Amino acid sequence: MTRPRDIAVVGIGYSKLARDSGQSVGHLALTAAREAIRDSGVDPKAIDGINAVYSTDLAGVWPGYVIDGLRLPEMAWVGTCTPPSSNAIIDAINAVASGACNYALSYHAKYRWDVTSRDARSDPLRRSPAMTLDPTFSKTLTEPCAATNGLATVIRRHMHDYGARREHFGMIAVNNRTNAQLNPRAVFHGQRLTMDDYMSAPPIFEPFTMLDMDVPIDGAMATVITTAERAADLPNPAVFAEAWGHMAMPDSDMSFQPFDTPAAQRRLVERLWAQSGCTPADIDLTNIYDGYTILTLMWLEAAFCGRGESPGLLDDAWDSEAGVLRLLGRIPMSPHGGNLSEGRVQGMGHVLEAVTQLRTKAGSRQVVGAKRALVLNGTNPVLGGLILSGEQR
Amino acid sequence: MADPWKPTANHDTKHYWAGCERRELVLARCEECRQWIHPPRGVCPRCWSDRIAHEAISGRGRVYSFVVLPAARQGPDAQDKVTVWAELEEQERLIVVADLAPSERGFEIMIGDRLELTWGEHRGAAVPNFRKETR
Repeated sequence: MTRPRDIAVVGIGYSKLARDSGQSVGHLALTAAREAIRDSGVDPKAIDGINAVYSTDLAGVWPGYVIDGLRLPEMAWVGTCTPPSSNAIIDAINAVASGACNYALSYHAKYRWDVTSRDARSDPLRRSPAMTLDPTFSKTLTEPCAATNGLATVIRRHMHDYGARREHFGMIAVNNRTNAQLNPRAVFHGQRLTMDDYMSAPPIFEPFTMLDMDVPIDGAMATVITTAERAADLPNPAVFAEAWGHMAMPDSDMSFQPFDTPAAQRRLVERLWAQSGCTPADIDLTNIYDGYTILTLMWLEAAFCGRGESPGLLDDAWDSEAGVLRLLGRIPMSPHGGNLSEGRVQGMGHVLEAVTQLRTKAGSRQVVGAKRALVLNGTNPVLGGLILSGEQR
Repeated sequence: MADPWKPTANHDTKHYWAGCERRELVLARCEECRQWIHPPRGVCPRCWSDRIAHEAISGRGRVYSFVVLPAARQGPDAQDKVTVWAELEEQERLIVVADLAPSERGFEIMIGDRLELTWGEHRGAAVPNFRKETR
């Protein structure tokens, strides 16, 4: 694999992250985009590429809204993509690497729309525009069914086939919640979680509890990407992309095909190792997607152990007193709290936290000596992954 | 009486729902290579033919996995509801998702249990259900 140019993340931006932001989803998107451009130090008039997550899920914010809303004068590259959020960043890296644009703004805005909970339904300002897409109509086939959470079937199947116990899923939920106590931005900052709390949570879609699912919030995040060469002229530390890519494979419709095959996850991680020349020994920090706890297990089995071996990996990594995981005895996971505890921006926070850590700007949760981060993002059908480094090679 | 529930359908899925009205489980099947295709598609994923038929199938299979909607989430006097991902016997990984018939509700179901098709009701419309095989 060749890398045409070295590419860097030079700016990150957040909106408020909150259960109720008191703002529109468009306001959140504009805020995150503005903050990322300000953080980058790039002249707003030089931003010439933009993309966003904008399909297959709840309504997002179309790039035209942000181009107009921030009066970005000339966009040579415009893109949209499916979740997870890292897909937008990966696409932007490819756009800058190809020369399609010089400075790419990527963002993702999530909202606690009426469909996310009974509480949200009672708020007239949370009515979602008709946006949910199901081009295969596969979800419509299960409309009459009572309990259609396909990922709950994957959890059950994993427990049946490999002997994972509820505690293993709890280790992920507790680790991320413990970490969020050092992240003032996290919506669960100030609300600790113990393993006992986790084990006594009532089932929602059994075997899932509420604590296995990420927390819907209002929130947007954004990045600015450019070449390493241009990054050298900017005020803040750049973070360099050593490897990046998507992966998708068949049999990946989780609502219908609960096959617990981390094959696509594994293939993506293999490609990231090959592209970067890294192994797990080179990784100081990993931020792993946690839209549901089972998804983290699948990623662990792609990156740090074999299929079905995550229960043993987690047992070895678990510090029950501190309530945190140290993978392979060493590697912290999701110091920001992940989607489970910082809030659900579908993996964007995982990338922004890696950038913050590698800039050594993470304050009380700084991972000492963090030079390289592995970010694994999303679930089937489309995955994204990156290896980011604080140093240019 | 109110009109029965109408599913959201497209050109690929309308045959499945029309089958339900006749109490037949109708799945897409490639006319060329005879692969069963579910959810239905307009092109066969195996041989890429677009000659897709829609045929009744036995509905016999095994529990691949299942999800329980707890009674506690449904209000007083409710029972647990169980939705089953059934792997049909005609083809490996041919999965149909349907609720367990009311008489079978509860935690007795296990991965690997043999299933057969029965018919239930969703807001006045006939929908497929599974039950443990009786033979």
